[in-house]
Amino acid sequence: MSKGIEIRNLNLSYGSSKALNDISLDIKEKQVTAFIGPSGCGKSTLLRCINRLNDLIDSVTMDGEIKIDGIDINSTGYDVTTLRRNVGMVFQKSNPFPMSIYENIAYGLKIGGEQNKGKIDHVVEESLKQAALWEEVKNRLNDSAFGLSGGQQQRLCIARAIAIEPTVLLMDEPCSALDPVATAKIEELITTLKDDFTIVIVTHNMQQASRVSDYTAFLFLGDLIEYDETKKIFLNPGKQQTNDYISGRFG
Amino acid sequence: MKKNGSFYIWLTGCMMALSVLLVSGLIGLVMYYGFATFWQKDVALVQLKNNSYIIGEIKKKEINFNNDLTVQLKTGNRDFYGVDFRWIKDSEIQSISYDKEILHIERDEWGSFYGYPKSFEHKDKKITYNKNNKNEFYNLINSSLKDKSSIAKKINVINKKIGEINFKLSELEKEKRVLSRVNLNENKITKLDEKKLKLLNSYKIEEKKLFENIQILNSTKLVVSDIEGATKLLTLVNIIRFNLPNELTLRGKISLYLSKIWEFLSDKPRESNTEGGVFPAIFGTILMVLIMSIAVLPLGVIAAVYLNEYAKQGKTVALIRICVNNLAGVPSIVFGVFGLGFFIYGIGGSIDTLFYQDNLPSPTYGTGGILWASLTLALLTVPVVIVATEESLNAVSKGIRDGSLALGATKWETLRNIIIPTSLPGILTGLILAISRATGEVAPLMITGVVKLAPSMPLDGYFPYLHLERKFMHLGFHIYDVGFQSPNSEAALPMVFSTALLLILIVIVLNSSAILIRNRLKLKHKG
Amino acid sequence: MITSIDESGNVLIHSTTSSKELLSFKINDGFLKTAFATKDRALLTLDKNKINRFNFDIKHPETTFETIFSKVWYEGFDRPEYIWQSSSGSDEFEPKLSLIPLIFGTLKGAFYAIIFAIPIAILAAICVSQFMHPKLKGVIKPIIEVMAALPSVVLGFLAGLWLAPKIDKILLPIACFPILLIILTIYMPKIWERVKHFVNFKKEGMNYLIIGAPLIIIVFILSLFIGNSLESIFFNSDFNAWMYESFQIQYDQRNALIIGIAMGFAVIPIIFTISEDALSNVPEHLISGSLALGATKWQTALKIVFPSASPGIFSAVMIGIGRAVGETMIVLMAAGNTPIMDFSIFNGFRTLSANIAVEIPEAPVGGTLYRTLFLSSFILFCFTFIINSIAEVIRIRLKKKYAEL
Repeated sequence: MSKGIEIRNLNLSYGSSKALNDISLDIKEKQVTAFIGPSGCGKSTLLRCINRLNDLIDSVTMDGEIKIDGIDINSTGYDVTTLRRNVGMVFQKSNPFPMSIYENIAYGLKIGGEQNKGKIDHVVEESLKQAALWEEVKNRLNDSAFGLSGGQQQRLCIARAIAIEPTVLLMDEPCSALDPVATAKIEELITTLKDDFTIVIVTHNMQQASRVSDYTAFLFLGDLIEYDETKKIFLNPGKQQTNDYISGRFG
Repeated sequence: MKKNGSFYIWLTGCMMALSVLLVSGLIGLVMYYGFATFWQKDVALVQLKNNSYIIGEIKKKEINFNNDLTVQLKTGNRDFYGVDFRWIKDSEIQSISYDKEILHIERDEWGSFYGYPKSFEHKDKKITYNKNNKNEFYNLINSSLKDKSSIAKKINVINKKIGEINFKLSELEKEKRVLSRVNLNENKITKLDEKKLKLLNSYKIEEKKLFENIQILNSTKLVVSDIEGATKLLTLVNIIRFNLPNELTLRGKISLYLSKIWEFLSDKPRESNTEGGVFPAIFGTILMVLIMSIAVLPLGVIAAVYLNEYAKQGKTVALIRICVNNLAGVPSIVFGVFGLGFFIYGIGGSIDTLFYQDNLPSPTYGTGGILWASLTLALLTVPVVIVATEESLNAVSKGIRDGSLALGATKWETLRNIIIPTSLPGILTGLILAISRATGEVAPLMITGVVKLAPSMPLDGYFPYLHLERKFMHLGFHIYDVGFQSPNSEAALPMVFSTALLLILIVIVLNSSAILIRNRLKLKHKG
Repeated sequence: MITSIDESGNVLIHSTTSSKELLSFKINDGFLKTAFATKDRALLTLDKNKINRFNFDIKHPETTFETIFSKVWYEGFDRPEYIWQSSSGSDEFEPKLSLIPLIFGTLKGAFYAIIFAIPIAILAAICVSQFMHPKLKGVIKPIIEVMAALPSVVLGFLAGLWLAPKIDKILLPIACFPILLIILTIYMPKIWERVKHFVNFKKEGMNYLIIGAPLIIIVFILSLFIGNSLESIFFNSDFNAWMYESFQIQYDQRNALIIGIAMGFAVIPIIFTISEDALSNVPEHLISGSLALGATKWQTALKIVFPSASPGIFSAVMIGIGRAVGETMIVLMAAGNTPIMDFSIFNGFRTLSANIAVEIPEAPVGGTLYRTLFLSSFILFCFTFIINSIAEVIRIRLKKKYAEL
């Protein structure tokens, strides 16, 4: 059984307009993989395929195969909620729920059926520590999550995602709404998290991709142009288009 | 089950389905009964086990409180039996047949007649009914009915003349009263008296003509008998329409059906509103809504424009907005009471003491009338117009405004040439919604001027043509009145259903057009 | 009225009903005998050489705050009571104008209407906003909103002349219906599991309509059947008579149950529309955040969407109550209009609004009754105005909150 995420011949369209064109790539386990490309290239769409969040959009038609740890996530017998518990996600705009900090993190556990208070307390603390937020919030766990700063909110969302112990963590431009200091903190966090999770990050900040990722995939207008180790992509890209994009000629 | 909540989701789904069922069920129900009103059913000849017969339309079968299956028959002939309906136990019925000879007559009083013809007398011709001269018999009635309609036209003309004379007479009376109060010379008063005498003379002439015509109608006599042989003499005046229900072909029934619908829409009510048409009510409703629109449109639009464009957006305006929204939630009857106290007794009373002194103590404007009802409804619906107008003013993009101002247009010019025209469909939507609300509203009208039977329309051929002080009829009130105040409510029920259907159709058409305009507007703003 | 005069000529006039002191004055001339003029309008006194006449005009002598809002011991009654009885045949009649029975009736009608409307409206709003395809929603929402446009006079007429006689006959089946409906919903997911392989509904939410609606109709027919059988087996075919014999529960044909259904019908679209708006406007990113954590749609709806939208739903209910309190035609036509105070769902009542509609055309302008009716419409106005203001403020706050989220 192969570990990691296998994407094979993935096609996707919104209604009649095609968004993803025959994408195939293997995402390595416990590594950071970045999707880069100009806006509208389909990188977020591809990311949302991995936890089937595209199911919510009605006009989407899709074919191809995505396997996580060898299991086809689109097969009929496979429960989408199980998938989503296995694949955590952090969004572009931080989206804490209108509840306390504690409740935000406990939410995923509670809907998963966990009722043991001690266990929940423990997980809340652990995930906040893992997300490097514990020291900042430990004295106000019962305050509303909206009292936190933007960067803290985003780290809270990361803590919330990892509290249910997924194997994969998807990040959809997690720093685009943050200032440089907060961004640096998140990036630091990503590098520590990759010991425990397979991380896929979408970004249009190329410096960020080169800083945090081990592998990089460049997408353009729904096509996967190039996918390789980050070093290689940035230092010695194999395709002219990649080179143009990285050197800032378009995008 | 708990986790994916399928039970709960189905619960919400079922409630959604239930709401849809409730709406469609209600509309379906009203449609079914409303449209069925005009359909001529076959008339059954029921033979009972005790060998007596009953004629009537079978209305419904029900199990009564004694657990017997009973049949409801509409027997009509209220002048014979005192009631229109009869309940008969199913077990008492020997047989049911549909006799082709059965005659059904719609009359101007006592409701429908079911029975058999005996003889007919028209212009010295007398014909006694038997099965062989059936065609000739009915043709004669038909031709005399045609005569009747031409005579009716004549009578109408005469009635109009009499009305004019009456009007002039009352004007003279007024003038005379004024003169006698001011105490001017006798000369003028005698002149007035002469005029009056002339008018009275011509009145007598017209009256004579009228009697002559009515005489013609009365001289045509149809003798009919019910199943037990009791006879009744009907004159042409009495007969509205007749048919042989069991002999009617489908086509005949359909054309009868259509003509009855036409009568419903275009004719005056008969028999204390339980038969005939609802034209005066339709007319009153439309006129009231029109007057209301004239009042509510400027009021609402100006208020909205001021609130949105000119007023300084602050706490006061926010408060005013909340109050406007709240006004929409104030019970309509409260508006009615306000209209009664403020418009009728306040303003109307003052108008009477100032301008209609001569008519006092009988009030002119100091009593309910179409003007006061319309104004009350205008107050009631003004929030709808304000909210819709503000919404559409807000939807005009800032770019267009700035563009116009940047070209050196003043605020007023921008408003007049750019903003108002762009938001016109939104304003129209608001007006339609207001009209729809006003059409269905009854409670405030009940105390501000609606009546069950208005003697004259608020719009007619006499100066000043539009009589704002007159009372009027209204579809919604018609439903209430016929359904709940009429002495014979069971027989009136079909009429109530038809009126309700008409009202619902009007309201739904108004609302759907408002929704359509709004949706198109949304699309336009998106594009 | 009671008039008392002491020897020094102090006159006191009291009302017997309200025990209010109406008037006091002093007669200085001295007197031998006194008498009342007719209709309590004047006092005559006889002194040594002439008759003196004292005219007085007391406005609304029998009405005080207490007679309108608290119990009054009227002539011919064995205890103080709240009574509304504005007119009668005899001249001796004393009008009894307590607004309490009418306020009670108003609240009673609104209560039953809200009880009927809340579950249907809010659950339907959740369904339409959370579990329905947008295109289907675009059809269903206007259909339910058409209910709001239906003239209340039509609802009242149907309730009074069609529904009331029907319910009278099928009371027990009607009681069976909600129970059977709940049982049906419990089995619904299982039925759906079986059926869903045979039918293919492209749009989410279609299944509730195509499968749910016919099943509801079947359940209704079933409850008619079961109810009627129960009635004939246990209650001697007459449930209403049985109720009366066993529990002294009187069944009026026009009662609070009918009003609950008819006025509920008028309130459902109001609560539905406002709650649906509040539910639909919950920001999308909160919902996808919850779904990405592996929550099911139902869990998301219950734990994220519903709590966020709850102020909006609350204000929807408030506005619904406001509408139910002020509704006139439905109660006028289907509530029986008996001003009694009785909690029973099977009894009629009279509301403030219907009372105004019934009485004001006959009330003499400026008289006590006329003014009392104005007072009652003022009460109605204040009540709905306060309720609506609360709802409106909550709604504006919610809008701001959503903008911040």
